[in-house]
Amino acid sequence: MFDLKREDGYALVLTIVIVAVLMIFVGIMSRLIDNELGFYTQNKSSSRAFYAAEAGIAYGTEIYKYETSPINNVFAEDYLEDAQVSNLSWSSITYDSMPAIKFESVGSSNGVTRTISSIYSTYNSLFDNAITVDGDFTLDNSHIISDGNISVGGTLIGEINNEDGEIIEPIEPSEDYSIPTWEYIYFENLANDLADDGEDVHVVNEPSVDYDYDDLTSEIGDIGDKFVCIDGNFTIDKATINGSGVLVVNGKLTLGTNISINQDPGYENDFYSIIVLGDGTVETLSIEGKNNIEIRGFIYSNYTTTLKNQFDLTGALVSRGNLTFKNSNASEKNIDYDSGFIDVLYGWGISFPDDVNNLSNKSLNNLLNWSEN
Amino acid sequence: MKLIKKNDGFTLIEVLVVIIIFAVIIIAAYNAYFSSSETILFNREKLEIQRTQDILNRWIGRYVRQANEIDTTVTGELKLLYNTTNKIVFGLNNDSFAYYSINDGNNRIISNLKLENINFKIENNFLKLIATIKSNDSNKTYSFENIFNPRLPNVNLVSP
Repeated sequence: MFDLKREDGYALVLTIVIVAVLMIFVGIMSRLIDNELGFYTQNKSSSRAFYAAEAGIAYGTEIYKYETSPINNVFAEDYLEDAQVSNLSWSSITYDSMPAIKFESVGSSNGVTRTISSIYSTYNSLFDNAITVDGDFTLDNSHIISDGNISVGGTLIGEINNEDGEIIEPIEPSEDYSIPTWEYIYFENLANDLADDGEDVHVVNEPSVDYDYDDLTSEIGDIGDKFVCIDGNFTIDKATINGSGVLVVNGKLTLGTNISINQDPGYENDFYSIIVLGDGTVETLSIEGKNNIEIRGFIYSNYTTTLKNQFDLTGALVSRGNLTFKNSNASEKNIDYDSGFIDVLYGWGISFPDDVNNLSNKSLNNLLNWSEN
Repeated sequence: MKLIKKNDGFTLIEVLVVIIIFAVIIIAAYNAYFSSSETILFNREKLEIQRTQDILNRWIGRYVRQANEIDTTVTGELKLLYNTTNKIVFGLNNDSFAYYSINDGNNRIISNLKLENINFKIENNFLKLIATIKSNDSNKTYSFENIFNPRLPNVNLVSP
């Protein structure tokens, strides 16, 4: 039988009892703490996954201009601490009848994934320039002062200065770069669509040889906010136009003197667009008057463009042919880049037909949509 | 029998010493448990408040980022339009802060704690939420302020 009187080893029993009691407490405590931590662990992983996805979007919008498709696995785990961008992709879409790019980025952390898709409007990168010329750019007896980029595909003859009098070097476009253009039918179709939507649209087919601004306004009144297409030559002389309208001339446009577009008070946010497609001859757009032309808007000329004397533009000018500034000696800036015209163009639904597929010439504009899952 | 007879049992002193040792251990353990559970309760209250604020922040932030329109005309309510067609409302539903989808009628309670003095307002193109969270256990109130930044540049902000 056991000798119950023997007390050797009671310390072991006592220790077991104490350890058991302490274990129970530790168990209770760790369960409580674990309950609390579970929420925060999930929360932390979700936040990390979200920020990783957001980083993917930011990265995508930066590289998209230079890459034809997204490069995955560029985010090493070391950079993002337990999180990674598990997928990044983009595609060209049409959003609100505007060309747009949809970016999709998936971020993940500890098995939690978050997806962000964002849509940016896109436009041809030539809209980033104050002046874009495909041919030669000649500044006769003059210099112009501009605060925007100047892109010259041919040769620059003359000097361009910025507001501080420093010489601006033009941007050399890449070899495969070419300024896109439109067929007149594009605007005819657009005019029909706009008319169906109830917009104020006016189309003039085969006007008389000396058709001019006075003829047009006597027919339709003020053209400032209208969408006007003229299939023939057109002359504007001594005119004040205010508004964010569009004038498309499928012929030659001649500008005379004293033309003021969006210079009146209250029109500081308006941009008038003049698109001249030419009549097949070399010269598309010319200013033949002597003085005083001030325009806030966008000018597109399909062939050669010649501008004389005082010519002030706020917005941008594109000439697919040679561009010549004659005697436009400026004492203050006269070509002032303002990107406001881009929204006006897209507001009318105007974009280059190949923009959606032509990745090399694109820039991102406004964020149009942002959705998270 | 011989063996048992030899034993005279535990002495009173021995039994008392054991009882005293156990009493000391139990009192110490009880004190430890009591003070730690008090700390846990106190911390849990703080954690619940923080958690509530965190959940509100995440729910509202997520939809404000996507919003096309933010409407604060009704006091204590936030109406959002996102992805051009989805309409949702944040606000009180029987004392609980809830999310309600106008499109499909889904209703979800976001906070079990009671929220008071909820005020959404638009300041400098940001959305500000000022509210008070009431603790269930101690009836203490905690005021907080969150600021949300809508992502879309052309977001339509509607305030009273």
